[in-house]
Amino acid sequence: MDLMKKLSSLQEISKAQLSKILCINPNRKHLILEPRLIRPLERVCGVQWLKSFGVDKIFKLEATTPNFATNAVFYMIYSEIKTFKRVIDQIRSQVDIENPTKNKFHVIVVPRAICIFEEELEQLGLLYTVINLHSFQWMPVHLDVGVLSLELPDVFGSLYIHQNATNLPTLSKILWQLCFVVGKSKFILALGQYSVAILQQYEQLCDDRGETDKIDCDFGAVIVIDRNVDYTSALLTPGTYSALLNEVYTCRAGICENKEEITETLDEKCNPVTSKRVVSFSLDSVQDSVYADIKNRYFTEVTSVLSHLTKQLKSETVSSKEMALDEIKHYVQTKLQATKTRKKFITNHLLAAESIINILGHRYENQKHVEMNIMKDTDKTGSLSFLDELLVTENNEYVTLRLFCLLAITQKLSESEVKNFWHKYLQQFGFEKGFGFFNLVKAGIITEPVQGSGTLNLQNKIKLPKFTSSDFYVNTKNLKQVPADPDKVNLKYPTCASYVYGGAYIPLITQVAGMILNSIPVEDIRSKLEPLGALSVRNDKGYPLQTRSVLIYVVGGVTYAEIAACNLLETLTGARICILSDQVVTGNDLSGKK
Amino acid sequence: MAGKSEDDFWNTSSSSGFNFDDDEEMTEAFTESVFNSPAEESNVVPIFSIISKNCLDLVLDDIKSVNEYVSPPVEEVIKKMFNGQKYSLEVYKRFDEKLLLLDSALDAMDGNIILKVSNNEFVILFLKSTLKYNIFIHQLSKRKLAAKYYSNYLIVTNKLQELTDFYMATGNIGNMKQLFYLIGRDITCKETRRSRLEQFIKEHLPANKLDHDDKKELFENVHLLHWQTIRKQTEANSVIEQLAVWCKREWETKPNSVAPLMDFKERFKIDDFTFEWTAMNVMASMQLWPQLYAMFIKPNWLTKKDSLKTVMNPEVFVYGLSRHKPPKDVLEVYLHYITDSDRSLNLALKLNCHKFVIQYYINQRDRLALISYKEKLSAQTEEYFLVEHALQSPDKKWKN
Repeated sequence: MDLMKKLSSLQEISKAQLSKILCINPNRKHLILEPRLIRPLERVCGVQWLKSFGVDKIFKLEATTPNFATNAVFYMIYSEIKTFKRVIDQIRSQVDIENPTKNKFHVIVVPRAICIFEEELEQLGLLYTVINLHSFQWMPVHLDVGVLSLELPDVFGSLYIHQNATNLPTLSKILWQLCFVVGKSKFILALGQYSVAILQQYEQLCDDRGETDKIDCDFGAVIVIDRNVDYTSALLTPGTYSALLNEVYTCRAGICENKEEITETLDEKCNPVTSKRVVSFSLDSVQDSVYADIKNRYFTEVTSVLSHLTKQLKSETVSSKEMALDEIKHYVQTKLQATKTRKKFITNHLLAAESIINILGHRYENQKHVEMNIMKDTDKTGSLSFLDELLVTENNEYVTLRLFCLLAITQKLSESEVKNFWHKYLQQFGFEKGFGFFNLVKAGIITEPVQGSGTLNLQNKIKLPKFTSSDFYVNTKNLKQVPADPDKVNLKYPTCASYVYGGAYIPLITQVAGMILNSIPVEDIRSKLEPLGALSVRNDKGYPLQTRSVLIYVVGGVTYAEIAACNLLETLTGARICILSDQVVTGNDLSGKK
Repeated sequence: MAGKSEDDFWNTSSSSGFNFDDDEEMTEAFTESVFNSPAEESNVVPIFSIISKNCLDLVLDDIKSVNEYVSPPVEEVIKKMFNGQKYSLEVYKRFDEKLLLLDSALDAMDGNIILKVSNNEFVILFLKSTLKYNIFIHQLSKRKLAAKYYSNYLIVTNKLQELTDFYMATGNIGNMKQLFYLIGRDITCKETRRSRLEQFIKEHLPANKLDHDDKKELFENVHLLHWQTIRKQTEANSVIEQLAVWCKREWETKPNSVAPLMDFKERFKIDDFTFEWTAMNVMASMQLWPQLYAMFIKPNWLTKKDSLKTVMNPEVFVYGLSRHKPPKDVLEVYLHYITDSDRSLNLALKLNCHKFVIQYYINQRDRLALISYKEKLSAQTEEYFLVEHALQSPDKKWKN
């Protein structure tokens, strides 16, 4: 069966899982959702299906509690303590804990109900008697062709900043469950501390709980990789259309939307504010043929393609005015609806492209130039002064922090440079952000500053495993990630995956997939990747690949630029590459967590 | 009757025809949200064609609700406590059981038992309730990851005092600064925040060997809060935001006032670039063009050539100014200070500063460029006449 059909049908399993929970109470029910869950849930099961399970009404989680009458009530939330407390407060206002109604209130926590929740319930006297807790994680959502997302919001923050592995079992379980559908791959490579742990947990699950009964596997190889092995791909400013859309509009669950235009003209420091145009559309190349054409194109090409399509549409309209009657009949019957939809698509993309130009246009060239210099390891002073300038002129904490992180992990900043920047950053954005400094250290972006006792402590406090090198340039040279001549990279008809960043850098996952597809010997791959982090390879006579298809599982978020780079690799090698991650992110999402 | 059948064709239809009005999708009348079903059903195949029944059962088995323990009856445990035998209270998680436990303890009239029951703290790390605190801390400080989980738990549940104690006990000095931010985090009233933070500094700083820069940061933070509470300007959340607000306030009543703002700059050690950018922004948003001129143009009596007095790159200055959409005359003044004439021309073209462009072409004696530029201008405007005049002027020696 076609792999894409399988991936699109994964939600049938999610529905089976959810129905098992909902059927615990066979009566009529109400469902109350945390707002962030609405879009993912639409992709998972949709309204009609929920209604068929006895859901009468669906509400958003808000301050006021709706009237529940005698229906059972199911809350669904992400596993955050703040939201959970709100839910409990709502429920408590409706119950008498000494005389509760059985089986009425249920809370479904995505992905997992953690023990703090149990503790909270126990202390309030609600556990088991009043509230029933359930855990639920849907199967990966097939957002677009070959793009799977778990739509879990905080994996990056919890894993890489707080070093809290509560979500890890969920991530390994998803892999295990996915294998029931696509089969177990014979070649699995895990790069990074958490990826290796996920691989181990996955094997544990296979041993303890059972394995797939499928003989073949749709994927010749599976690559599991930590986000922190390649921060650069997320921190660089991308150049492809889908990635830029995500930068400007923050797309979630594959939907790009902005409900209203901001009315304020000046921000809090009297800088004029550029507003984004109001749009709402799905990033779906199957439904939207225009998106399918432009999603991976470099942005400068996109505007010309869109204007070409607009002209085409206009000429079609013009010619339709001159048609004879029976021609019009034919046109109305066959082409009109398609033209209308096409027009809608083109309009959406024109608006979105306009927003991208308005918001990013003024700094794009300069920023690209600076990032190019960083990749080539030149002009550090120029980059630092650009950073200072950006801090003040752009007045955006995420964008500035992002460039800072990029500099810190590549060209390395001295302690005084870090302190200098940080001081200005706090002045600009408030001392409350001071917390971020520790998060940066925890995430491995900067090293812990030496406590001023004067002892010469030259080693970083972060212990690096043996044989790893934190030198960015050595590693990228080894893996050939930086093209020698970025200006020669063809952006219109790309042949090099670095086009996604204007020729500056090739994402790591693309290089790893490329090595595997080109059957580079395993030992060579090992020696190239080991400097980057913990590495674990399972090869069950699966190499060289018999099925030329790869699943890449990025733990902590993947970017549209990386997806585009892998799409190009697919075209160049004739293979199939599917990408799975907890969420599609941008550099701003990552720096926001810090 | 061909015409009639044609009419029939148009007037009847076996299927619903196209509606030339916009057919908006009817949304479900839910309380607040638009909640749709997934669009394509054609791509979805039945569940058992992608996964076998056994495997599906395995996946479904995994759906678990939080399990209940089976606990022994309450009277038994009370009896055990009374008789000094070993017992375990932990299994009693249900609220009604706990109440029953308490009531039974009260009935037994033994003060000791009541205290134990009412003080039963359930903690994540079981060790805490069963070990002496200092032994617990000692074990945790040996295991960094465990300590991290514990401190995260305390942060998430907002038990900040315990966290302070924990850090002190484990000698975790570096994280004290973290505490500083955590404490201030949820307090919105600036006055309260300031006093809490000052108290924290007094209590903990002398003992700690925080380095010079860290201390500087903490003190600056408190300093800002202090400055804000004294002047009752508490809305701003950062030093630079406060600067912008302060500038605006001053210039609303006294547009030429500069000294108090320089004072603020010195006090908080704001660098020149940031200060000048902010000042420029506020002035431009308030349209104080003379004041802008006074601040940034330095007259030179000797050479009669004024210069732009700023650390900013003139292009950056012009870009920043242009966002506020000032009058073209104002913008053109500053355009002149960009040294590279190609770049200033480019900028002028982008910003539609016609007079600047025209003057440039006149200076370059480029007649053809002038003629083509004339196309862009609307007739009867000042700029149009300027071009006309220049083109018709007999004493100009054109290049082309």
